Amino acid sequence: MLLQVSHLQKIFQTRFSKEKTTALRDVNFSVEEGEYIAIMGESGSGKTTLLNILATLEKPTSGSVLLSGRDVTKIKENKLAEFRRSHLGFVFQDFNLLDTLSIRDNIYLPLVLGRKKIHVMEERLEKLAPRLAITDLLSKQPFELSGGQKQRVAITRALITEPDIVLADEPTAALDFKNSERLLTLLEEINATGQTILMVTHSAIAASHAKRVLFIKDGLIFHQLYRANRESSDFMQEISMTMTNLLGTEVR
Amino acid sequence: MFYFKLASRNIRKSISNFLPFALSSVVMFMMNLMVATILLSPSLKNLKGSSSLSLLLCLGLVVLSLFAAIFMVYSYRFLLKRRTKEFGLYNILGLKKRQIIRISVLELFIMFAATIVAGTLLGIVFAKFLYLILVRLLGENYFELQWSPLAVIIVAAAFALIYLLLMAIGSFSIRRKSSLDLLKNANKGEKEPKSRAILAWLGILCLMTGYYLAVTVTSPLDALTKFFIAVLFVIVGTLLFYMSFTIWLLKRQKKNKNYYYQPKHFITVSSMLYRMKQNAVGLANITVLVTMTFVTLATTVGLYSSINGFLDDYFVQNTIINVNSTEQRSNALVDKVAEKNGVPLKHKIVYEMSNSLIGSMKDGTFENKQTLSTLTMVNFMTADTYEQLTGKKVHLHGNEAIAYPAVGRFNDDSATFGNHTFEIKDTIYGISNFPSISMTASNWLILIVNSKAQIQPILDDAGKAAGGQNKLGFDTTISADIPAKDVKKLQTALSYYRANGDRPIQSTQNSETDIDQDDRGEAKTLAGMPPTLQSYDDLHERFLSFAGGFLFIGLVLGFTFILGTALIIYYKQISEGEQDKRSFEILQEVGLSGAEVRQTIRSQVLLVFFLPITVAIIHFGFAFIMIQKLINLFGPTRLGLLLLTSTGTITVVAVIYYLIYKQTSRAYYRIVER
Ligand SMILES: Nc1ncnc2c1ncn2[C@@H]1O[C@H](COP(=O)(O)OP(=O)(O)OP(=O)(O)O)[C@@H](O)[C@H]1O
Ligand SMILES: [Mg+2]
Repeated sequence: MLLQVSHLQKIFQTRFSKEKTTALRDVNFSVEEGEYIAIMGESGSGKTTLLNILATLEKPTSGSVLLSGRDVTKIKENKLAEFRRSHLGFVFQDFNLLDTLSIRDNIYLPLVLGRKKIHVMEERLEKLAPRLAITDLLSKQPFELSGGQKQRVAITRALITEPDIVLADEPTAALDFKNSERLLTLLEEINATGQTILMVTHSAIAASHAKRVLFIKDGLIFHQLYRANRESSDFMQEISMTMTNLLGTEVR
Repeated sequence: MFYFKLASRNIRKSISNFLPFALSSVVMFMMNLMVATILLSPSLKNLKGSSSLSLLLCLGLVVLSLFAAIFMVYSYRFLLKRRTKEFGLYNILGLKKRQIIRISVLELFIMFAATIVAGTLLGIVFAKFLYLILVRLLGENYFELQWSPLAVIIVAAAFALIYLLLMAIGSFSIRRKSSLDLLKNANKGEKEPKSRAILAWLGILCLMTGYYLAVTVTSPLDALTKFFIAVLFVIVGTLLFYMSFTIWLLKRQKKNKNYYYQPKHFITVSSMLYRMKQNAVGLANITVLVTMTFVTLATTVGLYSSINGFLDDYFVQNTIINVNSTEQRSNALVDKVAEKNGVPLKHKIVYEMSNSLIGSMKDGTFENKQTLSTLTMVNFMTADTYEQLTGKKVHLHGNEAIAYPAVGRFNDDSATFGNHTFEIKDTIYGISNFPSISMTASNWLILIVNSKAQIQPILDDAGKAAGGQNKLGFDTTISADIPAKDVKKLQTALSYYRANGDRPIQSTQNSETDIDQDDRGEAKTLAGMPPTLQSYDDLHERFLSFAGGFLFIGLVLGFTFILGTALIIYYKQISEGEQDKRSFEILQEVGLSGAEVRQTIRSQVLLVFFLPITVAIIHFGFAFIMIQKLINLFGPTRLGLLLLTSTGTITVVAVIYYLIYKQTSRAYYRIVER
């Protein structure tokens, strides 16, 4: 078992008001190596909060997150950065590329921070670039790229550290339909090579490309669906129905 | 009216965008106003050397206005970049570009009016405030800093031109862009700047020229004329240097993969390179302002603290009496008058010297020309007088002479006056019991020759060339220690006598009024000149009052420049903090620890701190020679002392600069780390 999340709770308390928001009440699930998991839920259900905790960007109020048997919530503040860049890969909704760096350097960034040798960086990029179809973009600056291209670059950056798990927060939210489809297929392909992926989304289409879908509502995981060997379009139907029935909401 | 409302609403709504621009506008206005106010102050006329000072201040005002123009264009373009999205929205919502241009022009107009009102008010308050502090600090009121409407009008006119330029830039940039460009422009990144070798070389050439001008200055008056040109060269050179050289350097670092792909260098180099174009102007501005602060403060502080040195060099004893007559006659007269009035003359030193020849001394040839760069005052002294002063015997044969370049340099083998040539046997660097400075701005050369007879023809020629009326000859200088209370008495007593070269000294019963009448016409040569008397205390007081005035002006300008620097740095840190905030967030998500973030910030911040101050110190090093010559305009300098005061002022300014930097860096951290 790669990832084990148990009894995760997160309560937000703003400094200036006494009011508390329970974002996560009691979240339990686990992820096997090589899995592709989508976590679905409506807006405000706690998806981003969950992902941020897995990403060690936030600390839970209680509960534990074991990655390869190690509790990431207990890692000391000054060790976190190092942990993140060697074990986790991130893909964000708005790409988060640095304007100051060229595409190549944006991809190298986590490796440079990890003090990797130049030839290691070059070898890894050489392998990844054709797969993500970004070979021609490497010398450009971020502002010269389209949204889909930027997201492919962001994925390359997430993969280049050869992370234990890739965490993606609504990676298709800023893309149009066609680009979303391409990106989702790409993530599927990447997963096919054995890369574990955990994605958070509120889109049934996006979720339908995963192998397993977890549903979150009011800070609780209360249902899951397996894709098995189905086509993603079939799987999507089931996801939509589940959302409509169980959550009482309509989804795209 | 509709546009006006829209424009003023825009400013109020996006005040955070306008504020930095408004700030720089007002500060630049204030700096210019300060210089103009000093320039137009009635007190300025009372200072010795006020004409040179007025000239310097005028040039300073021109430089500062150009400087303001550069800086305002820089901050306006920054503002414009942030506003383009808003303009694009107007465009798409149905405003024509012409109308958008009208709005942006109106916005600028409002800013202009606000600048003048706020700048003038703040200027007055600041001037009053500084005045009070300085009077307290110096313990004396050397200079009346008077607010004048004319100064405001002059500076406002200069700023009107600058704002016209900004309006042109704004209109042009809006017209050139399509609606879509306008919408996108705000978050559009910039291409990596190109490194242009030509610009780099041009910058280095400009710097070299400026430095060369500064180093090769030959005399104080020369320094005054070249100062402005050198300053302009250095400003342009500095700007080009930052724009091209630093980019070239960063690019080179980036090419070196082993260096570049290290966490420490990676982020610093890339982000410096990314905004070097903007950075260059900011850094150049800071450098120029810091240099200006150094120069004004070092000059005025140096002058003020040189006073005692000047006077010690000039006054062999506490009183100097000059009689336009032979040594014997002058000496007898002074002794007689002193005795009659019961004034003791202690440690008396007497020597005789020719009247001064003033002209150009170049390559060993003296010409009756007023060329500023080579202007030299020449006096002849006989070998006997030299021996009498120093106790050293010299043997001079025929046309041999010994040169003593008291102020300036003299390296030639001969000195030619018309058809008379002296062979320079030796060059000496001091005569005991003899002043080592003169009270004129030119160079000063003393030639020790064999006999009076040898030089009389030269003096006669020079006298004729000067207009024929006054026959040149020898005069006598008597230095002695006289009790302070007796100085006035002796001066008055001596003023009743008229000395005229070789003729006997006459006494006149009709005190000073007579001289005034005599001075107007022929009668003067008959009557002769009264002996002059200079006392240490008297001159000290006079020097102190003008050097104090200078110091006051220097401190006002220095403070103003420091304030300007502070605001520019602040502005730079804040605007960069806003830009960097997102980058540092991303970096932390990707895996840069808090400590590493802080380290990266620190190394960037340090670079931005040290670069301008290092360059400014180098600039100052070259300016130093000029400063020394400039101070010579008002009185000669002592190198050691000037070096000391300069290092002192630089240290103080550097410390203040550092404190400003610390403070604004904290603001930067707060923005970035939030
Ligand atoms: N920093 C915070 N301080 C206080 N409350 C927060 C904070 N972050 C999130 N919340 C609250 O926690 C709850 C879950 O938020 P979260 O961002 O995880 O939702 P989400 O599922 O990602 O929603 P969306 O689909 O809109 O992105 C919300 O009610 C939100 O208001
Ligand atoms: Mg979210």
